[in-house]
Amino acid sequence: MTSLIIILVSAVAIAALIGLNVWMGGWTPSRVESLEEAAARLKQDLLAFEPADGIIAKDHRAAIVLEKNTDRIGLVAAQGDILVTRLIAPADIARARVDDNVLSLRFHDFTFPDTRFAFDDASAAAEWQARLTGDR
Amino acid sequence: MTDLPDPIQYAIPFFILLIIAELIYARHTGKAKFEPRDSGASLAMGLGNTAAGIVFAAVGATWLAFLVPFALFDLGWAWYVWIVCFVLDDFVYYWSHRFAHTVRWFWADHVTHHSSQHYNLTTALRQPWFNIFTLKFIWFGAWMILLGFPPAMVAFCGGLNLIYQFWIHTEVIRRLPAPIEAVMNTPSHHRVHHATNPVYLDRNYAGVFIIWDRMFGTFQAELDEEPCRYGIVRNLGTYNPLRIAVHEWWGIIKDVASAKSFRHALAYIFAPPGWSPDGSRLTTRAIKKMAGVEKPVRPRREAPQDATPAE
Repeated sequence: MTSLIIILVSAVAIAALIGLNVWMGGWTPSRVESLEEAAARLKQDLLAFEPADGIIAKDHRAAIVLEKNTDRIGLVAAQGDILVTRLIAPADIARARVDDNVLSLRFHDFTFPDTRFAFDDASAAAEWQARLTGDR
Repeated sequence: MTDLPDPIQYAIPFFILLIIAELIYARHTGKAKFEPRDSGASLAMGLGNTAAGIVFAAVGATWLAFLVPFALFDLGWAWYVWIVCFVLDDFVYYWSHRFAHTVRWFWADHVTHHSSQHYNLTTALRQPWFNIFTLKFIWFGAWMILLGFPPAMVAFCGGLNLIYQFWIHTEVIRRLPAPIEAVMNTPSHHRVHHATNPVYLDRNYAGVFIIWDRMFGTFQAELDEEPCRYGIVRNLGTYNPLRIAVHEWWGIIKDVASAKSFRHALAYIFAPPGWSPDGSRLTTRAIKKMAGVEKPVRPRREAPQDATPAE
């Protein structure tokens, strides 16, 4: 019974702490400012990454950087106030869907968020879909 | 068996008050960072860990009670036995923690605690849910009982050890006076432990006393020129507590299922995290080698050329 009370009181305290954190603010949503920044972040996280061509989403919340001389793809995604990186191959993409100028990606890796890229036009979205899925 | 209270249950209100204090201090000074979803995930992991502890408590208690008749000595309850128990328990914690980073089976559990890119007091509570799967209570929980320390005393000292480790998960405190930094685990030492910079990886395993790292060659001081980047080598992009809790266990299952031989399957389970047959993934040793930081790096302020001669 005591344990149950501790769990219940803790759950209420957690909800209150999260509420306090939301109310106080103090964090800034992360952004990928430039391709250079994305490449530097991939190099920092993956050590031997050699960046080639790439693109940043219009909202600066994600970037794709291709690796030189391989078919591997460096991804940088904004998550809250941090950035998360992955080095993936086309086989790691569970779904790549184009809707007008927006490319939506879902990965087999359940610890990497679904990522949405808005491009200037629909043809750019389709081109990047083809490049990422190995159709080009 | 003598019954002692669980000190962690009494500490919970103080944990909450200190988190509130750090939140307010962080907002006014910018010296710490909180993000609600990250904080929520950490706190939910802590709650799940407490619930799992309640559910599985009987398993550990039964094992300890089973061991008591095999104890070499009966050390009793004298005050000095308490002190020896606390220090020896911390020594066992050091090795248990070191194996938690160097054997993937144990890392699958402990990775949870390192999975936030933030470092604040909520990170201290980001704890695993499936600790029971590691069977660490069998390997590491036995020594103290077999020596003759009362199980309740060992459990109580273990609780005190964890309470001590709560307050060191902060960026608010920079460094403490040198004699304290020399002997005790401090926020500075533990920041290094949570950092993924190659020079900091797999260093400072201490619980309470940093002397174990200094003795066994795993100590790394925080370097002014190398700000800590927190998290894990392959950072998580999820705040879902269940995904955080199971992701490395799932990774082991997938790797073992795809193993080409029994030897590879065993290595996927028991080799250091990052091991792969073709070396396509990176272990800590490989990362340190690539970065040229295989040995601990001395901070500039401690380097001999900077030392001020005694007068």
